[in-house]
Amino acid sequence: MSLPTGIRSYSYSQDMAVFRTRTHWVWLAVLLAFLFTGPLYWSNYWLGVVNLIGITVIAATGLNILTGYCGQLSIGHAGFIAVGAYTSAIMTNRFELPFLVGLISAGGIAGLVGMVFGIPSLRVKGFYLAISTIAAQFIIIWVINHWTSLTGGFVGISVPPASIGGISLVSQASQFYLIMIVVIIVVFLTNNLARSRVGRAFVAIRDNDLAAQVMGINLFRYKLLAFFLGCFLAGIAGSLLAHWTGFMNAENFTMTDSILYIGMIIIGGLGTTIGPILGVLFIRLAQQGITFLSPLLEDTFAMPAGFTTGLGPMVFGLAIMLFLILEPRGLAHRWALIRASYRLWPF
Amino acid sequence: MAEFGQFAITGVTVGMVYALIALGFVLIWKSSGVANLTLGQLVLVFSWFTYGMLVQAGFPVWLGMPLVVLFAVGVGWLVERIALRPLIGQPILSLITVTLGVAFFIEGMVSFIWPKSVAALPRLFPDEPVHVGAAVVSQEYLWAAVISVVLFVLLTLFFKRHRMGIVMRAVADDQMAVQACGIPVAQIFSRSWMFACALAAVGGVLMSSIGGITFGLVETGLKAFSVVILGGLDSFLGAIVAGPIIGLAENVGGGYLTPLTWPGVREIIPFVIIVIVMFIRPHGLFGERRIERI
Amino acid sequence: MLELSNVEVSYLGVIRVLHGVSLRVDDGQIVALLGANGAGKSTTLKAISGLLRSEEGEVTGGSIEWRGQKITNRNAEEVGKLGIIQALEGRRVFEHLNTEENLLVGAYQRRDRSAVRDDLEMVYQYFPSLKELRRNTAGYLSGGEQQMLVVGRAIMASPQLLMLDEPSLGLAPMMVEEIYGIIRRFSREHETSVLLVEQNVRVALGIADYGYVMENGRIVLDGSADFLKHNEDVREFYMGLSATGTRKSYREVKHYKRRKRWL
Ligand SMILES: Nc1ncnc2c1ncn2[C@@H]1O[C@H](COP(=O)(O)OP(=O)(O)OP(=O)(O)O)[C@@H](O)[C@H]1O
Ligand SMILES: [Mg+2]
Repeated sequence: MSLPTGIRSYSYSQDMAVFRTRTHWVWLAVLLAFLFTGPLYWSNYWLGVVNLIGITVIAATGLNILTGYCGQLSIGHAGFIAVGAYTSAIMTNRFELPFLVGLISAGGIAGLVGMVFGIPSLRVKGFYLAISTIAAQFIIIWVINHWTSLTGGFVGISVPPASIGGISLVSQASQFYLIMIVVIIVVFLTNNLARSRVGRAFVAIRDNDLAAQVMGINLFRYKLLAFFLGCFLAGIAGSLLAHWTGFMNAENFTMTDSILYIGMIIIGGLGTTIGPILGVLFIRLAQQGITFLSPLLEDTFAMPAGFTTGLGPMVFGLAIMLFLILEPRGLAHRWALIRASYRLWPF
Repeated sequence: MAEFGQFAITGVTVGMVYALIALGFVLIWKSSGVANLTLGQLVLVFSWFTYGMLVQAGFPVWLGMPLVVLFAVGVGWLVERIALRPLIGQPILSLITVTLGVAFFIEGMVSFIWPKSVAALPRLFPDEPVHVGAAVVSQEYLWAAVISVVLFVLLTLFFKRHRMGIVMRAVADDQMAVQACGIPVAQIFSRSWMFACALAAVGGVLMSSIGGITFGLVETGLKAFSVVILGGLDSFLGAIVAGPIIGLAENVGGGYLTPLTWPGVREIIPFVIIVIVMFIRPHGLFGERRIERI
Repeated sequence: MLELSNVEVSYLGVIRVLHGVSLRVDDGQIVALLGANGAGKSTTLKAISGLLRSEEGEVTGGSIEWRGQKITNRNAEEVGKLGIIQALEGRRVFEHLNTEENLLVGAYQRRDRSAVRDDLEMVYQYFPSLKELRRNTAGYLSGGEQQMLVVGRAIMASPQLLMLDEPSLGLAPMMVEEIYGIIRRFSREHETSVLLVEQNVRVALGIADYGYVMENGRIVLDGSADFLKHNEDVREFYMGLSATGTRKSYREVKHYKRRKRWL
């Protein structure tokens, strides 16, 4: 991390600390204060949007571990999120287990399913892996749609609201706190994971897995670990999503969503902590913008009927292409530049 | 037994159409090493364009079909020019995801221009079905199979004999050495995209004249992936053999498994095959095993 | 005539590799470009042929002219159209194509089909062993055969200026003589200019008319082949011969310590 000049480290732990200067701490405090007082002045609608953003950040962070750090492209992320969502839904609805059990097992089972589909990654990569994750996406959704006795099939399944210690989290605001706490934990842990031995192994595998293997990195263990962690977070996000929406069916987890997740981490910046957050903000806020704007545009310019449904995919497809071509390091890179220029001001 | 024959013949013929679309994939892969994940969306947009030509604009087939192929070639040129060319030499991750971006864009455009979700094409081939033994096949299927085989032969000859085909293979081997011969590599990429799109257009028309135009056509494109995975990414022969296998598995397997398991089992068979191939023979039936060195 | 004046090249916008290289290749002339590893010889060739771009390199100064036309920073395709063809360093054959297909790739840009067929025969005449191997997969040819193939492929483009990057790399001494004989023959018969990069100084100066010596991105010495052949420094530092023409002995440490005159 780049620091202002004059900051010295006198111990290793100091050197490794995430927040170094007083300014860092002040910014962190301001950010947290702003976030946690949010429900006081955000409308219910916007709280809902923020909740969705939080959930998506968790999922995107998972994908970022898998794709951004470890280099294993997954086009089935929505499928793994679905596994988590349905696990949690079935646990709490059909078996009436507590929410926290549902949440944790959602992560665990999604992680395990991810590992199974990640096994081919030991022998194949690039396009092959992409295809096998697409297959995972379709197989998972198909099973969900057809195992009616368990999942409710095409109709869907209703999910009781999350409850912790007898307190049921029904309102947007109460869910907001739940989701934000999970987001903060996830982001914090991922940031540290990336700087650990495991994170370095992931990056080595991403850059050249053969060379990594020769250096003594156990590919089998680390690739599967990446799949487990990435899909674990997908499962957590799925569980939160299920309890947040209260009712769902497999339509919430299409391949289009999977592609959108890839788009998010690319737009945000692969292999950075801040990247998925920025990418999710970009896409979700753009979606809001489109929801507001397209009826207006449609009325004023007499657009054809498909305008509203078509605009979203067109904009996002274009955004993915443009970012890949013009700014492959994503918004995170921009963000770093902005910070640097702020620090170096007035030069 | 008659039932089996019916499943088998439908399977093989429909598999030939998958093979046709898969040929387009192999073409691009062979000449530029790019995995084209837009296949499904390309099939979709070309089918709709055919609808636009034949139904909305009311052109006769002899005029409409060449226009469709022309349009496809144009789309291929555009996609290569705008999305792929700036990324020449970038890591495979970028190349794959940029085609996903294109796929997304095309999907949006289709629902923008053709907001209807389903439509039917006029019949391109005569109505009355053909009897093959005890089985009955509609002519569309047979035509589809014949066209696929013809195109396969042409493509194979093209890559073996034609100058451009040879150069396309050379590019797959060593891009820079081709450039050093003063050959415009970018133009070669562009051509292979144009060809591939033309193939996707023909495949799309055949698919949608059989089953109508629906969003499900995107999945036809995905089935083409299972064909290339099974056949081997860089093998035309692989595609043409694996296509019917996938079609057979889908129809015969679907036909016999549906009573035993859940309905709709046939939709999932190609994807299960992908996973199985990935576990036991990742380079497919005929694919070259790439040697990798550090 | 090819003329480079004060050409500077940087990779990635920061790594400056050539610092003002000037050289000239007259029509029909064979010019050798000599120098130690990493001197920038291959870079010079790529700067001319326009292949720098795919390695993120760029000509940042000076100019390259071909028959009065500026070709600085043109892309490989345009340069190739003018008849400037480079054979890359290191036997880059198309491994999955057979011998004849490899040769045909070289001729891809030409429209005159009958002339291409004639040239194919000509290449087979130059390299009879290639004719026997015409249906063999190039990846399985021996190193020497591959090198012949690379030279033959460049010839197939019917170049006006042929640029060869270390055609003797890894070849047995007999083969080196043979390939060089053929290069000279081709150049004489077709009045083709040749710009030759070579480590094997003795052989290169044997066929060249003129030579340049490069070091650290600069031309440090040039002259006719005869002049260079008899230049003490070239003899000592690139041919490993002492002033009297006998093989140098490292026991005479004084010699070893002598500074090159141009540094
Ligand atoms: N793509 C590149 N990016 C950065 N530096 C490069 C690149 N290509 C070459 N260089 C550097 O430029 C310098 C000259 O390289 P060049 O290949 O021209 O040497 P050469 O004279 O051909 O050497 P040799 O005789 O070993 O082939 C070297 O120091 C090399 O490291
Ligand atoms: Mg060199």
